[in-house]
Amino acid sequence: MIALIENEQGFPLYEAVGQIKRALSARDEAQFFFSGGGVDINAVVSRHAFEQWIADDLRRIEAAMDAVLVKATLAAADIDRVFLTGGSSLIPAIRAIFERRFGVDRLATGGELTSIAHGLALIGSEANPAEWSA
Amino acid sequence: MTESAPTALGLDFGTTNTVVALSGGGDGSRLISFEGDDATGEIFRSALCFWEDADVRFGVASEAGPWAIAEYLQSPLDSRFVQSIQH
Repeated sequence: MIALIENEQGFPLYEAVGQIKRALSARDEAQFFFSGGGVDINAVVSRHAFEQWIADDLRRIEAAMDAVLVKATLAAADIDRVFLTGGSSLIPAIRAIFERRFGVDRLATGGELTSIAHGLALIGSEANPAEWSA
Repeated sequence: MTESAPTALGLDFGTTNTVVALSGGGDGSRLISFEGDDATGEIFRSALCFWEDADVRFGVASEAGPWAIAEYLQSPLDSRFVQSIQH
């Protein structure tokens, strides 16, 4: 850790972690490779292990989804369409949370990195954007 | 010109990436694309880089997004690179 900081390897390490996270969205396991600042890491990482590491985050996401339904006084069955977006929606374990709750037929997705900006711009051009604020 | 000027700007300032869209000037919304050397189009990395430069105002120069990354990689020991800025 000290070698990584002293040799300014924070950014390359961040990029290597991002790369394997993206790979694990598509495959059951992927090779993690990092070399820099005198530190060499070469390891196979399974999607299962990754899902264990993010288990607390997955539980928090599910709890947030439940809280939204409670606040809206709606049951999962009352929801017609769920649109998943953001880079994290590409993680299979996150998609699985919503599949379990709403069923695959009600899930929609697309433009994972750009749809939020589109949506905000469309809200901003509505007559009363304040209606959309929480 | 069939479209009027946009009236709204959507800014998704994300932990990893920042994306900007304009709307209100016709149907739908359109993304802003950043251009130039090192540019990455519509997906702009949420990152900043600062470094000392006696020739600029206040003696500290800065870049953002893909240009921050390029500056940092060019002289990592003489600059300060910041990302995940919201945290």
